[in-house]
This record gives sequence, structure tokens and C-alpha cells, in this order.
Amino acid sequence: MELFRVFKNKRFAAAVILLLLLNCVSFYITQQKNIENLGSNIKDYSDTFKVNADIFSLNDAEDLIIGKNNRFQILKGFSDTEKLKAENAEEYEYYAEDEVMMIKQNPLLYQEYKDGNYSYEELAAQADFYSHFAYQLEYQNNYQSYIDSIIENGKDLSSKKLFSDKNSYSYKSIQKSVEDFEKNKNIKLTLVNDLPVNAVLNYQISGFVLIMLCVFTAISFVSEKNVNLLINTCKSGRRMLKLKQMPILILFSFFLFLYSLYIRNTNITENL
Amino acid sequence: MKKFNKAVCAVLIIFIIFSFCSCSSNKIEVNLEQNADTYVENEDCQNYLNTFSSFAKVDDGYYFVNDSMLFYYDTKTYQAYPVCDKANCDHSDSKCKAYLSPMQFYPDLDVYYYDNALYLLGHEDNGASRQQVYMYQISLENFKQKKASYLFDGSGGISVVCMLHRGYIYFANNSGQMDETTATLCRVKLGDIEDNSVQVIYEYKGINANIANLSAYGNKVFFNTTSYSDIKGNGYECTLNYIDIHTLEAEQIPEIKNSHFAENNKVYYFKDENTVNYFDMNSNENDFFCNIDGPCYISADSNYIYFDNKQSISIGKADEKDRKIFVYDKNGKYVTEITPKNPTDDCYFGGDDIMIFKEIITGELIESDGAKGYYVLDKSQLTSPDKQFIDME
Repeated sequence: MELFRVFKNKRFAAAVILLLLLNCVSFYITQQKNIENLGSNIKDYSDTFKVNADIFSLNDAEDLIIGKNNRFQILKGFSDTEKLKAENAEEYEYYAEDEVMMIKQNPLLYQEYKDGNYSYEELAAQADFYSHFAYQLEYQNNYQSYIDSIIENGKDLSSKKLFSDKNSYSYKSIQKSVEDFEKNKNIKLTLVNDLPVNAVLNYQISGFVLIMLCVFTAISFVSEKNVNLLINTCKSGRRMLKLKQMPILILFSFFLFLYSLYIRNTNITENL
Repeated sequence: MKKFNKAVCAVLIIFIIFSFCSCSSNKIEVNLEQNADTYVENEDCQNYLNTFSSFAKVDDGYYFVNDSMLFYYDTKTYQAYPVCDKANCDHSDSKCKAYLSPMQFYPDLDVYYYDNALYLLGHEDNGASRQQVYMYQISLENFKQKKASYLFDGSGGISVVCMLHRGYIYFANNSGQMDETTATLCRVKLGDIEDNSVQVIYEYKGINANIANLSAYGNKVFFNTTSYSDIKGNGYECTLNYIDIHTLEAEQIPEIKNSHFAENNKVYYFKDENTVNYFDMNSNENDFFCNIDGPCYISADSNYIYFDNKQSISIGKADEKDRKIFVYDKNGKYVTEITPKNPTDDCYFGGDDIMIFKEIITGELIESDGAKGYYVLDKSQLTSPDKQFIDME
């Protein structure tokens, strides 16, 4: 009942909607800035994304990604050098020899670049897209040996004098790490499009928005007017009201806690 | 009922406040009453290690800092490795547990040991140009770091001589000004992190007055005072003094020239460039010890006294090809000599187990790469004619 009263509160609903809208706008602006920092724009970036959306389901996805990554890195290299030549001729002198060498080694790609099939923004978007997944592929291919090396390192560490005391925190921590990584030993990784998830997880302002939501929820309880004012004057009525409000606060706090835990774990996993 | 509600509220508030508090305590147990005349292993300054070595001795090994990383060298297995227990760490970045950030520590300075913990000088920034200098503790039980003592307020670079002995940090923060200055020797108890805990125990006035070469043995702290007779840098004067850590009474040792080493109530020193004397702290008398082409850096372990002639090479009195570490027994009798791998290598001396060296070729340090460049001599081989160095890997 109390939950409905909170949700029916127009000011609360307006605040929530406004916060969510602000969150969306802020997310869009942040993404736009990130893409601009790469040298691209949001249109070319989303076009690249759309065109390549099904690349992961193809049988030869791995070869395709590696091939396209190599190709677009070289094309972007031509584009970068040309941009540098136009903007800072003095600095370009340092790279002129490298450019000649690159043209000699990739005459067809240079011709393709010269034909003007791609804009700089388009090349920046394609190069970033494929380099991200080429990196993911490399990580995926080395994953088993990475896990093996951690397990071996853990066993080696726990044999060293400093960490070999079975009652010590260090020894237990090493054993726990080995056990945890052993669980991942036979996991086969598959390439998926993680760019949207990454963008959301790396977007930090959403945590702030969630805290604001909690604050608004708490404030909506203390707007003790009208009938609540009357309830507050009765001894048992006030207690009942607070008892009803408590689970809602706990619920929101629980969501906030879960969210922060999720972000923390995601960061830890990314750092592994 | 009202009282009951108030009590419940009070309990809840206390519970919430305590739930935000850390469980660890900042208290550091120290034994300030220690008054043994001899070396006390867990509590005393490890003066047998070179002041600039960044090494600290523990049972069966040494901790040391190189390239902002804390390492452990196991003297049983002759293995050196970073102090990091993360199985998935390649010890190459700031996420490594062995990494000592230069934003917090002065990793080029010495490492000190007291009661199963390491101590390093560090700082906390207080505005753009001010910083508070602290001694930080790294527990050897769990390798957790915490502030151990407040030393002084600094501004960027510091010129400090420091030493840890019997629960106190002794330090002098020298100004370096060629003017009439006062050098102060201070001490602060381990665990005192308040800025009013520092105690001035000795003052020395003079032109560019400095306090240097801090060391300790038993109940005495030894230090040099240096100054000039005028602001042009003429008339350099250096005296060796000691102060009793319990009574804080200071005395001067006569005849001192160049380096010194104190142990077993004797202070060994170069009377002149080729004569080593010792000052007996019990009888307050000087006596002859041995003749060596000096001056040399002096150190000792339980069995021998060591004289490193790198000091005379650095002042141009000896040639690099004659670099030696001379070993004498406690009766002043020549035992042997050690020739390091390269004439300019640093010798950090060491405990009874090993002697530690760091390779330096043509005045340049070997590129920092873990423990690469360090090597040791097992002291059980000291009297052997075919001494073999062991590389730290």
C-alpha cells in the first residue's frame, strides 16, 4: 500500500522520469565524445556497428576479423599520415620514410585508399571496431595457456618460503586463486559483440543516478503532509507507517548494493 | 516505552557507526625499556648493512627495494622474488602488490626492520607543494601498509638521515644552506602519528651544520656532526658523537676521521687515512687496531670486520683496479680480501650469512630488472681461495 502511495506520488514519478531521461542524454553525450576522441563520429560508428552486426555468427568470423583488422589498420595508417602531412608538415618529416615503406609493402591497399572509398571518420570507426575484436580473439586464443600459467604460478608461489605457511593469508589466497582459475580451465570462449555492454559498464554516471533515485525515494517518505501528518500524530499509526516504509527502503538499498557489487565484479574480471 | 524506543535507536546508531569502522588497529607495540648493551636482533638498527642499500635482514633472507618493487631474497635457496602473492600477476605494473608507488614512498631510501615489520619513508601530499613525511609500516604477516609515525613537514625533495632503533625513529632533516644553521637530531616513537610527538634530542649549530651517518649499537646512537668555518666552504669539520638513548646525554669521541663502525662497545674508525683505531666505550680510551690503505667504509658481523676501499677510490687516493674489501678478525689480524666482479660495484656488506653486491659498470647502474645486477658471496666461503659469487635471479 505504502509502495503504491510512493509510486503514485506525482513529484516522485516526475523526478524518476527526469533522472532517467538525464541519464540517457548524458550516456549519449559521453558516447559521442568517446567516439570523437577516436577520430570518428557517431553516425559512421553506428553504421559500422550495423553492417557488421552478424559477423560473429559467420563460420569464418575469426579469419575475417583478423584480415579486416589488418586491412583497416593499414588504411587508417595511410589516412593518419595524410592528416599529419596536412596539419603539421614538420612532424610529418619524421614519418615520411615509414609512409614510403608502407606504400611499397601494400600497393593495392594504398590504391584502394587513394580511390577515396573511405572517409577518415569511417576508417577510424572500422579500425577501432576490428582492433577491439582482434584483441578479444587473441585473448580468447591464449586463454587456456593464460589459465595454465596462473595455476602453475600459484603452485610455484605457494612453495616459496614467504607464502608457504598454510595458516597464512597469502597461502590461502593463492590456493583460492588456483581453485577459482581451475574452474575456468576447460571453458571455451566464444566471440560475442560486447561493445554495447562495455559501453554501459564503463559509463560511471549511472551509479550516481541510482543514488539520486534512492535519495528521492527516501525524501518521498518524509514529505509528511496531509493524511501522513495525521498518521504521525497517532502513536501506533506512525509505527505502522514506518514499518511499511522500511521494506521499500531496504529494497532500493538492496538494488543499489547489487548494482555496485556487479560493477565491482565486472571491473575485477576485466582486470584479470 | 519511550525509554525503550530511545535505547533501541541508540543501539542502532552505535551499530551503524561501528559498521563503518575498520577492524584493524594502528597501535604498534614497541619495547622502549630495552637496555641490553649488546645487539638485540628484532629491535636494533641493522648497522651491518650499508645505509644506502635498501636491504633489511630477516631470518633466512633479506627484503630489499629495487625499481619501486619490494623483493625478498631467500638465502637458503638463493632465489629473489617480488613480495606479491597474486597468482595472476606478472609484477610489471602498479597493480602488483609488491609495487611501492613513488606517489607515496621514497623508494630510493633505506628500508628498516623492527619486530616482524618493514618500515619505509613516505609522504602524504598536503596541497601542491607541501607534504607530510611519515614512516610507513609494511607488516610481514600480511604485507599490509599503514602509517607508523609522523616525522616532519617537507616540500618536494627531502634530505634526511634516518634510522630505526629500539622502538624509536631517529632522524635529522638537514637544510643544506651555506649559512649559520642549526642541525637537530630528533626522535619519535613508532606508532606516534600525531605531529606533536617528535622530540628534539640534540642540536648542533654551525655554518651549513649537518647531522650525518646515523648508526646505533646497544644503548648508544652514533652520528657525525659536520660544519664549515666560513660561508665560502673553508675549514670543514667533522666530529663523531654519541647519545645515550635513555638518559639522552651526549658525548664526543675524540680523534675520529672519516667513517666509523660501532659494535660490542668499540667504535672502529680511521685515525688517519691508513690507521684504524678503536675507541673503547667502557674505558673511554683509544687503541690501535690495524693498518690499511684507506680511507674505507667499515662494517662488521659476528666474526669479522670489513673495510671497503671504494671510499679511497672515490676520492682518487686508490686506483679502480685495486678495489678490495679487506677482512680482519676482531683481534686486528688480516684474514682475507674480496675483489668484487667490477671495480665500481656497490658493496652493501650483510649479516653473518652473505655479503651483498650490486653491479655498477662504468659508473652506470645495471638496467633495473627485478633482482638482476645483484649478487652475493656466501660467507661460509670467505676464507676459501676460490670465492664464488652467486647471482640473484
